[in-house]
Amino acid sequence: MDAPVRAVPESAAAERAAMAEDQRTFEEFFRGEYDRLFRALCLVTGSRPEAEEIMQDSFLKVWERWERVALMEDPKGFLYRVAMNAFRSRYRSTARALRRTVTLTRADDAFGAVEDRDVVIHALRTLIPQQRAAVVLTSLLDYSSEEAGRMLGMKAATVRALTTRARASMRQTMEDPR
Amino acid sequence: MSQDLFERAAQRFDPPVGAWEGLGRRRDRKRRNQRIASAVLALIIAVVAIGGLFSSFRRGVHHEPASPTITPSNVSDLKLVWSANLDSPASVVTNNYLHVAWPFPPTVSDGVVYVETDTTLYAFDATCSAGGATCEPLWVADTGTGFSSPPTVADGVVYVTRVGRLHAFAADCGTSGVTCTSSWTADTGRAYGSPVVADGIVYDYDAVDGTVYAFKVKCATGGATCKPLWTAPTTPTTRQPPLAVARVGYFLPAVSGGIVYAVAKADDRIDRLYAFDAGTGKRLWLAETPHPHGKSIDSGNTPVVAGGLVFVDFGDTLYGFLASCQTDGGMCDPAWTWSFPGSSPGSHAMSPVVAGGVVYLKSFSSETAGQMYAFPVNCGTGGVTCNPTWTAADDGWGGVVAGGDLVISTSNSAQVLDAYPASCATGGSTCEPAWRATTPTGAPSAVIANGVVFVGTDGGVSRIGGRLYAFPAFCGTNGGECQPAWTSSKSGGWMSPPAVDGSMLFTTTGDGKLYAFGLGGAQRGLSSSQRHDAATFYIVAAILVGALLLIRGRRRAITALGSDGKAR
Repeated sequence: MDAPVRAVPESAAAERAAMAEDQRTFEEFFRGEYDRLFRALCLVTGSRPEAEEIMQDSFLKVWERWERVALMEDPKGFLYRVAMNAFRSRYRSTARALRRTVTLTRADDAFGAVEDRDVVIHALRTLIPQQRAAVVLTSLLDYSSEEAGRMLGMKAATVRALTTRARASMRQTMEDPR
Repeated sequence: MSQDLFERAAQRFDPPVGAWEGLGRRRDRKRRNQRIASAVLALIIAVVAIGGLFSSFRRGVHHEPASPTITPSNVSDLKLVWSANLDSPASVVTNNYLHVAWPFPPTVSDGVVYVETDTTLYAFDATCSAGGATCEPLWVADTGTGFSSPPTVADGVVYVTRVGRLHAFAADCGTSGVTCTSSWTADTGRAYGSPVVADGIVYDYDAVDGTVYAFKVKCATGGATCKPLWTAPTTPTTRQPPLAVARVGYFLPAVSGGIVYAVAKADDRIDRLYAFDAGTGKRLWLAETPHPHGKSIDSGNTPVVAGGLVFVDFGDTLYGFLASCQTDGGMCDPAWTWSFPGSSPGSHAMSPVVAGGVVYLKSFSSETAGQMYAFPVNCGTGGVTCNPTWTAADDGWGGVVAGGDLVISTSNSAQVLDAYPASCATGGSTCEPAWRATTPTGAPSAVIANGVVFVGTDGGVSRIGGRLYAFPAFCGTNGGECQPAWTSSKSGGWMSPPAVDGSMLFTTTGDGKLYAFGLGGAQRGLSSSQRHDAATFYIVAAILVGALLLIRGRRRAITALGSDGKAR
C-alpha cells in the first residue's frame, strides 16, 4: 500500500480538510485489512471474541496515530505488530490468571466450531499459542522469521524453532487425527 | 504444509458484521473515558495547586516551625537580614532614678514584628527580606502622641496603651503599609503601661488615679469605644507628678490563677498590693506595708507570681504573699519577707525575677548597688524573715535575667556582665561568677535564649555605637573573661536587648531603627518574595499541565473524526 501524502495544514479549514482526508484514508485502510487480520487472529488466538477484541484494539491504536502511521512505508506491518503485541500482552495476563484459577475453562472456542470441517484448524488447536502465532505469521501471512520475531518480541531463531516444531506437530496431527 | 492450506482454514472464519461502526463506538467510549480521566487528573492537579498556594500563604502568616534555632554553635552566623526606619526612637521608657531612657525590644508574634514609637504602632513581616533590604511596614496605626510601651499581642489582636487610652487592632488588619484603624478603643484614665491579656479579658492599670480596668477582648468592633467589664479602685498617687509616677515605676498588673494583682504607692507612705478576682473585679485581699522613707516609688512595681506566691519589692523590702491569702477583701500578711541590710532611704530594687524555684533580687540603691540576692520561692510562712541562699557583689546598676541553670546580672554603669550558676552557693555565702564579659558600653538588660545570652549596649554617654552581643551561656566556670560569639554588624544609639524568635532576632535602637538578624538561609516560613515565587511556581505548573492536557485532547480530536469526517 502506497503511503498517502499528507499536506501541512495552513489554516483551520485546511486542517479540517486534512483531518477528513485522514479519516477517509484510514477507513480505506480498515476496510482493506480488517477481515484478513481478524482471520489471522482467529487462528492465533483460537477464540473468535478474543480475535475481534484484539483486532478492534489494534485498529483503534492505529487510528489514533494514523497521521504518522499513514506516512510509514508499511502501515499494514505496523498494524500486525500492534495486534501481535496485544496478543502477547493478553496471553501473558491470561496465563497469569490461569495459574491463579483452580478450574480452567475455555469460553468460546473458534476452533471447536469449525474443527470438524478443517484439519489445519484441528491441528492448530494442538499447538501452544506462541507456536500458533509463529506459524500463522510465517505460513499464512508470509512474514519472514525476522519480521515475525519483531512482531512477537522474540529472536528470529526462536521463531524458526517454533515454526518448525509447530509444523511437525501439525503434520503429525493431520496424519494421525484422533 | 502450504500457504493455501492456512488460507483455506482462515477463510472458514467470517469477519464480524459492522466492524467499522463497532470501531467507531469503541473509539467514542475510549475518548469519553479519557476525558473523564483527564478531568479527574486536572481536578487533582488543581486541588494540589490550590492546596500548595494556600499552604504557602498560610505558612507566610502563621510561620511554621523552622529551621535551626539560634544556638551557641551557629550564633556567629547571624547576619542582618532586614532593617526598617521608624519615625522616632522605639518604645522608650524613662527612669527617674537613673535619668536614662532605654528602648524596648519589639514584640514578635505569628511572624509579625510590632513596635510602638512615641507616635505610631508599626507591624512588619518578620521575614520581609533575607538580603538586608530596608523593609516597609505591613501596616501602621496612629495611636496618638506620648511615650510608649511594648504592644501586647494575644489571639490575633494587638493591644497598646497610649496616654490613658487602650487601643485594640486586628493583627492582620492590613498589608502594603496601609494605615489601620483600631477595632475598638477604651478610656483607661492615665494608664501608660502595656496591657495584660488573660482568659479573654484585657487588663490595663492606671497607677496614677488608682484604677484597674478590665475589658472583654471582643467588647466592640468598628472602632467603637468600649465600656469596661469592670473597674476596681486601688490608691491614687499624688506624691509626684502623675506622668512621672507612671513612667518611673512602670506599673503593670500581673494576672495569674484568676487573680489580678496591682501595686499602688500612694503619698501616704504606705505601699499596697491589691488582689482582685480576674472575672469580676471583686477585691480578694489587700496588703499594706508602711515605707517610712517614702522612696519606694522608684522600685520595681510589677508583682511577680510563682509557686503560689506573689512577690513585690516595696523599696527596701522583698515580700512574698500567698496568692490564696484571703477571699473576703481583708488584709493579707506576708508569708515571708527580707529587707536589705542596713535599710536606708536609698534602698531600692528592680522587680524580683523568679526562675527555677528561686527568687532573684538586685539592688540599684546608692549603698547596695549591684548586690544580688537569691531566695527559695518557698522560703517560709507566717511572716518569717527569710535569709538568702546566696548573694553576689555585683558591679553596678542593672537587671537580672535567669534561664536554664544560669543567672545573668547586667550593668549599665560598670559595663560588665556577670554569669552565675543558679545553684551557685548555699547558706547565704557569697557567690563568684562562673564567667564575666566586658562590653564597650553599658548593657543594662539581657535575654537568654537556647543557651545564648544576648545583650544590647547603650552606646555610652553619647548614646552612639550601641551594639548587640551574644555570649554562649556556658562560657566558663572559673570566673574568666568570656569573649562574644557574635557582635552585630549594625550599631545605633542604644540597642535594646533582642526579641528572639526561632532563627531570627529583632532589636530596636535609640535612634529610631528596627533591625532583624537571621541565620543565613534559615528563615522561618517563607518571605514575601518566596511566597510570590511559590505562587508563580504553582500557577505556571498548573498552566503547563493544563496545556499538556489540552494538547493531548487536541491530538485525540484530530485523530478521532466520525465516519462522516466531522469531529465528534
